[in-house]
Amino acid sequence: MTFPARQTHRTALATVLWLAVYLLAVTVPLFALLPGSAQGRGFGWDFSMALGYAGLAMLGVQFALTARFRRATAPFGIDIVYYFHRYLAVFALAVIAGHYAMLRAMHPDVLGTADPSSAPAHMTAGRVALVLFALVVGIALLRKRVELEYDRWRFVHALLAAVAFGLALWHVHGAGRYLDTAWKQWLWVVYGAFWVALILYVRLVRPAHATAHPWTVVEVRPERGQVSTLALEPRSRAPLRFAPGQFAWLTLRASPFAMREHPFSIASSAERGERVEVSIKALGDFTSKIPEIKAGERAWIDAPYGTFSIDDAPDAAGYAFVAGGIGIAPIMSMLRTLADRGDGRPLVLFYGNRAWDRVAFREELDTLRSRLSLHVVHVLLEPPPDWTGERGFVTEDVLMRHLPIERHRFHCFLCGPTPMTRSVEHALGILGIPAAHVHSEIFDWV
Amino acid sequence: MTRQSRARWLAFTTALLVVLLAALFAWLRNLPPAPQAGAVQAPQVAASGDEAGRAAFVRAGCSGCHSVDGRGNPGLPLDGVGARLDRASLRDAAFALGGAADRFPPTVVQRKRAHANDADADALLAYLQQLK
Repeated sequence: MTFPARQTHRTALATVLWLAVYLLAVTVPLFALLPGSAQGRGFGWDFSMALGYAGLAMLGVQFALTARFRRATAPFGIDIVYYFHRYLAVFALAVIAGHYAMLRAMHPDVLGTADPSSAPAHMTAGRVALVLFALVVGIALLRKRVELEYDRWRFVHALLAAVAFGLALWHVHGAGRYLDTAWKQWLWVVYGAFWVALILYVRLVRPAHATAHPWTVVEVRPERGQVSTLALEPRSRAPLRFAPGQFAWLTLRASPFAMREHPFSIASSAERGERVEVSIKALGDFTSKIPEIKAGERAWIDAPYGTFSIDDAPDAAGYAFVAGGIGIAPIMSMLRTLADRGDGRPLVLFYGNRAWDRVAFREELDTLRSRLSLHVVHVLLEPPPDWTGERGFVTEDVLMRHLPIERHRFHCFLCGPTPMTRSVEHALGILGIPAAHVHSEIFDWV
Repeated sequence: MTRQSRARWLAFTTALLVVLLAALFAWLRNLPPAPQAGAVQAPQVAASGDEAGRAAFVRAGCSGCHSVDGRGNPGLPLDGVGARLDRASLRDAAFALGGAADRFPPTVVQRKRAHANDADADALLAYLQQLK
């Protein structure tokens, strides 16, 4: 899986740049404590202390990673940033656990009693913070397995993380190993306050801004395969400018302050930003209630996000799309946009579904054939008896039968279940499509 | 490499770099100081095993910043403190009283003073006083 060819170099540069920014954000407040400090207290002692400070800083940056800053997420795609947040949380927890474990092993007296009634409050705060961080990470990793409702989990996740971070800051200031001068104490007060301010910005300021710019649901349209399309129009602001394939955070029947927004691909044409459509399949708690939404209801949109777009590869000789189920939504946006733009380049769509009667947008795809140079290949897992088309999965054979000879000059866009995406990526590689021409979007990254 | 693997490796690399920088910080703090003319090695003084006083010492959280006999925070060893300070000065230093308070950051003063009226404060002082 790769980034667009034109952007590969730029993305690598951005990765190095943002990695440097990350390391600076985490370690500068630590290294700033070096000047004027007393002689070290042994490598093991100072290493364990440094792990504590750095671990806390890593957890602070965790808040920034999911704050959806477009400039920071643009080079990578927000799905990668969220995965980075998830994996880094495990490593940050390991760093903090390392801080505790080293002290426990080498200087148990320093930790003192764990009894909260007699232990110094800042030490208890540190212990509770460690337990809460472990809980936050553990629950996040197990959320899908234990089928915890997304909205409820998200609220608890944010609350526990913020409380744990506050307790950890208290611990650092109370223990104050390196904060032996007023300016060092202030440095860490300001550093901690920065992350707290970021939390307040994301949870209060940004929702307040969204509240002032509501959208209206103007149509709810049932599609095949338990898919509903919501059409939305802005009440006050200008048309939404987005690239076809990007997605939006959508809030329905809740205040923007309630943290109940969900990410959905925009399915409509990027040339028609005055009316945005999202097509949603009934898969979970939130999505199964979409058909109940009525025209006239208010909605809030935070968009656009994502890098999965033909506009990132505008010079391609043609495009191949591979969609699995509702993975068709961002690809519909790309096809509709290409049609509106009068694009004449060759296009091939491989569209995998279980059954013919569940193929969302199949009639519209027929219509789009007349407006585009589009070849649609339906691949059905359970085809009807008289089916003469492709059946099973989108395999290397299926791709080879329908991709043109000059396919190496095509850019390919994949959206669907992860197993499909992985196998198609592999097959495209075998068929000689350069890796830099293959773009995909992780299907379920929240 | 999938996008997930890419994110995983990026996170791992980032965390590894953070740990290495933490190790660098610890190494820099422990570089040997430049030798000073006339510096005299402090005498090694054996500590006594006053159990009640030692318990008070640990209970009050003193070992978070100090060590005795190599136990506790090695940064500020108190071995021999009983030979250097009399009882009144020890009390002032232990509980940040009088002029001694000026030597400590406010958070430390607060923590030390919180234990000035502990029931075992005298046992703690006796313990410190016999560290000669």
